[in-house]
Amino acid sequence: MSTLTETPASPREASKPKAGRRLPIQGQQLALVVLIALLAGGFASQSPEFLSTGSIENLLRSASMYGIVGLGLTIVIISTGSLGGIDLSVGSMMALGGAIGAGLLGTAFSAANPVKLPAVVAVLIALVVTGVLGSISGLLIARLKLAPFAVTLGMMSVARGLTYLMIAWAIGSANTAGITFSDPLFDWFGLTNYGPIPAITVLFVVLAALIAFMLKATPFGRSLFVLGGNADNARLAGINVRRTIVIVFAISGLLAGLGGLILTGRLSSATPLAATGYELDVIMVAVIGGTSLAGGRGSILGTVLAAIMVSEINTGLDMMNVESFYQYLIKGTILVLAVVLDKVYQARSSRKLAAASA
Amino acid sequence: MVASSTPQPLLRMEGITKSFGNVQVLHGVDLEVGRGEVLGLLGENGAGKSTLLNILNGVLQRDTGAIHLDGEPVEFAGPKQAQDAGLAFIHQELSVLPYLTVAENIFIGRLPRRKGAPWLVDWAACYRQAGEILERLAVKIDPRTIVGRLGTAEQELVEIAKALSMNARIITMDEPTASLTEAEIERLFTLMRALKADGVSVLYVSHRLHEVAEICDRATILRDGKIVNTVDAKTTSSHTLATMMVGRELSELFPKTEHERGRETLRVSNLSTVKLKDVSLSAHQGEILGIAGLVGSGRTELARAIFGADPITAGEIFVEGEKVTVDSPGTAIRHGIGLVPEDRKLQGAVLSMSNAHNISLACMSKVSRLGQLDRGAEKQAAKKLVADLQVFPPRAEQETGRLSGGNQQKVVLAKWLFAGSKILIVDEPTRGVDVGARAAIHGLLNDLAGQGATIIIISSDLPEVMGMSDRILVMHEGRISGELARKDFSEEAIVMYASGLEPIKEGSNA
Repeated sequence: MSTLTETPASPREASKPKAGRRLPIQGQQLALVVLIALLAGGFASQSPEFLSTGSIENLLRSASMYGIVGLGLTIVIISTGSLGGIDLSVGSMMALGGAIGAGLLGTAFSAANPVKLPAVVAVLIALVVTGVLGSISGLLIARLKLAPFAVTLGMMSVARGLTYLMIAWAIGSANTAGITFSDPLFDWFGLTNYGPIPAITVLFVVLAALIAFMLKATPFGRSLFVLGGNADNARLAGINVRRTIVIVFAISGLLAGLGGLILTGRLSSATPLAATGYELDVIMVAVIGGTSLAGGRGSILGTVLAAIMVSEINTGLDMMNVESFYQYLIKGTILVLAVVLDKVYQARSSRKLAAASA
Repeated sequence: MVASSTPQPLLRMEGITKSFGNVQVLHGVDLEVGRGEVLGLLGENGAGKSTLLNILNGVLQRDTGAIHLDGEPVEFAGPKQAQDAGLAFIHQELSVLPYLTVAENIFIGRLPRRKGAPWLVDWAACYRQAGEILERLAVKIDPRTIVGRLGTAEQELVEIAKALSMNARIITMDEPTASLTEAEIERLFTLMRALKADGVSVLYVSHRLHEVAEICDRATILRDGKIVNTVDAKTTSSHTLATMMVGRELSELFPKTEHERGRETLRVSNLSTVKLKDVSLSAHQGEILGIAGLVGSGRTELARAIFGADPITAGEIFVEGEKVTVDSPGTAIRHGIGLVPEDRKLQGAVLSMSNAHNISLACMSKVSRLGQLDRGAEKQAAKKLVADLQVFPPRAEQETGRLSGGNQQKVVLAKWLFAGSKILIVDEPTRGVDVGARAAIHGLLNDLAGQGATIIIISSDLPEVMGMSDRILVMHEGRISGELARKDFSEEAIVMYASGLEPIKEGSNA
């Protein structure tokens, strides 16, 4: 797991020489592991089924889906946090990705099916479309210096509208039932296991490792942290700020599309209202994982752990039959608490910096 | 010394001292302003003017000394108390609220309330009173105008109206003419004469020496935190004022080493940007080219334009004789240009990153293979540079934000050494840097020039720019107003050019 530890602040560790062996994970991430264990114990005591194989498998699928989308949001916030970087369109992009993938298959039950494409092609088209829409958000933010909040809020609505259009076109009528279908590739997304591990969990771990490697070991990844700390600084270091912003939003769109294909695979259907409100869960994943909304700081390992924790909360509350309005209340509170913690951390580290350079 | 015009001055500051940390900025300053007097306050950047004005207006607290208003000792715990006592401070950067009306700006925070309903604003009274004040100033501005629609000069008049509405007796104006046209300046001066006639005093800060002669009664000259002299502004020549402002010996030794001046490496012809007008210059291998001028004269903008950080509206840049299009810092870096920016903390170094990451930042490709950073090689290169530049502590993995200012600056310089820059522009390289690190940075710049690099040094510190440079260009209002060869260096000449004047030829070459 330690290859996933990603933070540019390795010097922070170096500046504090420690006696003895260092734990493989520290601070916030250690706290997340403890919380995950405590929550598991708590939910299990309320409903013992929480720790059943089926439940854990379900939890891993859910965590992988939120986590994959969260990876994209993590790099968006790391690199553009200082500009107010956020991607609110991820929920709608998931719906759109799923609708395109399902709609192009031509295997919907009792529907018009205007085209029949091989599943691989349909999936690739879905990823290209969501990636391109993400890059359009990025272009507007980078070129016209628009607020990411406003641009991606607009994109959230645009993607939702396109989802309706796609589904209406695929099933030949404008009802909200959606596309119900069956397809082996989508079954891989939604049902396949390798041993006890869901296929998409393997996919999630591979993607997380790739992005962690990119952040830590490539010039592009390094430049994301510089840009997130201070855009002017990044520009004066010769970093192509505009291109970088476009790329990270494109990645976010693409990963949201992939998350949507997974959701569609799990449900064997694509509906216009799919993934509504999921942006809250995905933002929670990034922020609870230790990605600073101020930019320049974040961790892929944190995002992975937070994805597990958020899914644990979702699954556990469902199992305890907690009404959805309480769920909203609880999740909202947790998100705000995470932001407060981030603020406290920022204040503390800026005080330390001031004290060190005084 | 010229005595104050009235026996009992309106304002008397006595023996004001102020230190920031170990640095004493004011050493027992005495200052008097008479009733209805315009007193010019002159001094170079860093002479202590801002500190003195901030103390007067309650923004900063003095260490020792006394302030008397009308003969009475006063204490200002904050700007509000100073305002209540009749002091107004009009900053160079205006503090008007652009989306509110003129009247709202004048009465912000103390809008007139309706009688019998004090939770409601009495707008009729607000506009009427604002109108009266503007009338008193003979200013034809409708109090209902949105301030953002006014020009800079009119916005400044709004600030003055606001000061008067608070019954200000002493108005401090910090470089009020910096962004005004000739006609607007005339209008401001007319208004200032009207204020004088009303018995209002003005403390006038400007770098434009001819304006001081025109509008001020007396002028007090501040240098290195001490009052040099107070003179009659009408009868003292600009040249004498300039001499008093700078008149000091080179207090520090600069180890100037002579280098062979090689071929031309950088040529800028007729460069214009929003802030620059038709700037041309050339710099050579092994040369240290100084750029002097006041803050805001376009020095930093020139550096940023050459480095591709600000868009160029006209003009050409040649590197090693070849015309280049520098449209981004990335392009500039590829052409071998480096910039050590003025704001080290926000633009120079990424404080949250390690020295190694900062050093490789501008040229990560140098320690990358197949798109992957070789962190071992990066660390090795950084280790060597922090050792060579005597960064303390000499550790590649140290967080740069935890270093002292001087050591941070060394890391920024190391970044350009690592990137192999042939043309290095350094903007205020030793600002906020302790004496030891200063000498080290100066030594390093000299060494680089000796190795054939071209160094362009921008500095407000005249001894520094004169000590380091082979040649100095002086800027004034976005243009190059003068060029001096090393044998002709004098602080007076630089100050005159920087103020937009021609230095007086004293036949020094004869």
